[in-house]
Amino acid sequence: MYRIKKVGKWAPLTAGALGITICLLTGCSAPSSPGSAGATTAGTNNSSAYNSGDAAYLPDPRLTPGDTLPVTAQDVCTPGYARRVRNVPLELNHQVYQEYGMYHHTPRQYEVDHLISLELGGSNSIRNLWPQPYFTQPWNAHVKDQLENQLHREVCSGQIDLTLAQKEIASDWIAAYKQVFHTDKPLADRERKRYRRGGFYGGSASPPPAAAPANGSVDQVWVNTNSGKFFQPGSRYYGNTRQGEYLAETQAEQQGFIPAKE
Amino acid sequence: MARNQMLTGIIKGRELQTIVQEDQMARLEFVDGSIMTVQLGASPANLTPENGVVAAVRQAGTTLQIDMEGGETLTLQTAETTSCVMLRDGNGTFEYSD
Repeated sequence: MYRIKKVGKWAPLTAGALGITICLLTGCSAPSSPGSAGATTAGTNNSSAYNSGDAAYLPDPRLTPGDTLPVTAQDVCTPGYARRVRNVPLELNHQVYQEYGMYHHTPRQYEVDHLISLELGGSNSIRNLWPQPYFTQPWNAHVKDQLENQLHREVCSGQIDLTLAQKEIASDWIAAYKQVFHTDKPLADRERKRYRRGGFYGGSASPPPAAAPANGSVDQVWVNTNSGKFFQPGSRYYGNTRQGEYLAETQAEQQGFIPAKE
Repeated sequence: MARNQMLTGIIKGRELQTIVQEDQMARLEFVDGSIMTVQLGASPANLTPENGVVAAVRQAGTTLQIDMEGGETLTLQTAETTSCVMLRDGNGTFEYSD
């Protein structure tokens, strides 16, 4: 029997897992669905993203272009919003797997994921659903959850437009992750926390510039980009943490850094 | 047909005032000001009953049935299994979507 290595143990390689494995090697290709024809798409559905090196971790854009509900940022930012959207019916779950040619799969290896998450106004339409593996590395369902949470925070803080967030995550969620977190690989929890304080997305595709300390200037503070706190000149931590940069105090506050208590 | 517990819990007891059909969309307006929109897969032959107090909602596949306290049932065919029903209260606040 073919076997695939799972985290910590060996699990039988099901037809679904075999499909994903083939996808990892060759890039996914699935027949188009009659139901997907003419669907309203939120993503750009561009083939260049799909043909990129990360294509194996992306849904088939012909089957899953993304679909949204007619909701506003105010709707999705209301606490409890996602709980008011009905769960995906079981028969629709099965339909999603079958659409991707997966007739058998091991429990807890995949989730039926909303390409545009419910928290970002995604719908339960089959055009927005795809079987996403938990076990692939480095990109998997857990990593996409990080992106969904961060984008939701940025939408609700007004840093990014809801429609743009929907489009970005639908067209290529991995590219969106890299842009949002300024990284080429998934971040560890500790690294990611810094972005909770402000985020750098929405109009800024690059990290904040690392300014050199101005000699004798009292306008600049030292921000610890790991802890999210900033320090005034005279502090023993000023310019003296492992990760950090000099910023104007107003800029540091705008980016979500908070003053350190000493 | 299975009961849609989530939607039933929200609109049970609400009085349906009128139904407006626009193209492939039915708009169910309740006395309390809330509005439920349903994307239709096929135009229903008759949208009756047009009023009454909701007792339960049942849903399977693309069939949505709203049972009234009087025993009548409004049956709608939705365009898809999901993503066709939305409910907002009288203030326009989101209450439910399938």
